[in-house]
Amino acid sequence: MSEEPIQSDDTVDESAWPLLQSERSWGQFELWVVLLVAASATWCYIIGEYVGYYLNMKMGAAAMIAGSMIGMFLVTLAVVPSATRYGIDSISSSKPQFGNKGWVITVFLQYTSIIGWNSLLLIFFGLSVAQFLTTTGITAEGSGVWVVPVATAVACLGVYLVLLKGASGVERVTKILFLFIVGVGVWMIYMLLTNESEALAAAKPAYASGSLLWDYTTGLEIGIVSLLSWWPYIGAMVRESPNAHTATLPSMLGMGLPVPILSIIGLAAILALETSDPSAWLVELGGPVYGSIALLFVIAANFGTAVIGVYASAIGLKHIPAIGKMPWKVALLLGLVPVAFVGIVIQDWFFNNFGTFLAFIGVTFAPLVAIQIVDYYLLRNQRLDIRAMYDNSPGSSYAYWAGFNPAALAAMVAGFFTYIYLLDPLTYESNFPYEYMTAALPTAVVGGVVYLIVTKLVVQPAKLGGY
Amino acid sequence: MAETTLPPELERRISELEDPANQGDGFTGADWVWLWVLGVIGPVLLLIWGWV
Repeated sequence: MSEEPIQSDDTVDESAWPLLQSERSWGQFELWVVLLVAASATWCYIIGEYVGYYLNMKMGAAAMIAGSMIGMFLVTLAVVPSATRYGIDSISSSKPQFGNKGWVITVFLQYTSIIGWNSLLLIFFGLSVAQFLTTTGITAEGSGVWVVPVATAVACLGVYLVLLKGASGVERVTKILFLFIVGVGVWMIYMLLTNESEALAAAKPAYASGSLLWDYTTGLEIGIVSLLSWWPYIGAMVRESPNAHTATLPSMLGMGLPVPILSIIGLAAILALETSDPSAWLVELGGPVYGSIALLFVIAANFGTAVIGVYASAIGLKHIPAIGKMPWKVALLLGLVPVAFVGIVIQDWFFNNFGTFLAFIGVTFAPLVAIQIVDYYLLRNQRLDIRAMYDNSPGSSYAYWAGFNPAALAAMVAGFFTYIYLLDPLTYESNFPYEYMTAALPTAVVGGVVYLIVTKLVVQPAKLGGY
Repeated sequence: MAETTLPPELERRISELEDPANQGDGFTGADWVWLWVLGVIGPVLLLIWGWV
């Protein structure tokens, strides 16, 4: 990576500026490692647990893998071609659609969703450290009251120190974690499937609705929406590779497949053992040593994902002119301090409101990816104006009206209400034709069609948007 | 047309990337096959397998 100063002492991979071909050194293996480590985290057990409420092992696994791969397909189509063509992150890739001021919407979505996920991961990191210390006899029962916040603070410090090295810090730490995460993940799946095969075959989902089709669709929906959440992460990673070909399989198999595969652990555990927490059921299967290995897995996996999440959000924040002028180490703090605050000070409040918060964040990514796909493939013939992406003036091709593109705004609103009509993400009450189509896919279609129509009828006739 | 004066280093980067020869290539034919197999056809087959 170039060591050329960009702003203050920052390197180019610590800025939101585009990377040149000569600076994009990650091949398929490096990208595969980074994306796999990003994908492997505690959320996999939660996803598997949710699906296990509705579906048995076979149907749950099929729905989760299918949904995840569909979600990853949409995210890959939306971000990878533009990110690898111009060396840009997810936020830059959204500027042609949202406008040279409207992109703050996507920064908000990225920042809030990554902070939410990182808070969850680092809280689980702290809980796992506390449990590990108790299991190994280093600390007494009940010490979690002080161990959890201290461990969360130490994790934040660790993330900060790793990311002072920018993308090379990400690459180094993921290479260290990669083998451990893959090895223990495969081992946990093996342990569950071999030791609990009979219980799995007989297990019934606890909250099945009575409609097998509805349950199956809901499993698929959970898979799709979970993987759409990769939109904020993926651009900052794949821009380190030289072309779309290098990023295709790492994206689909490195980032898309590990989530449902690891989620099978949560699915199987909730069905057979009625707990998705691997540290609990591995203690049951093999005693404290097995439990400790599981806890180390959670600690390593969550740390790796948090590193990548903070990196992606700091790159996104660098687009904001005032933050873009700040040193990288300050931008990192803007991504980390809210996480530390949530994890240490308002942990209980966060847990109580986490579902509500992320549900509404999640529904925005379906129309977002559809807008980008329609714009890039149908309207712009796979070419963007790289200069306009970094030109915040009213004369920019992407200035639209006062910096905002009404087509994107209309598409986001239409998509949001389509989703809410089809499936209330808080109560899971649904309306026809949810059980036949999911909520995310029609939402994406509506968002994309509205974007196309408004662009054709309003934006292009006004000769705006650089079409 | 653009009105903003960009920082010299950013200007250099953009000028270089405006040349298609310096841009990354898009998906190849094989990539599209993989994308459709892994993102559409495979999931459909999996859903059928899970249902029957």
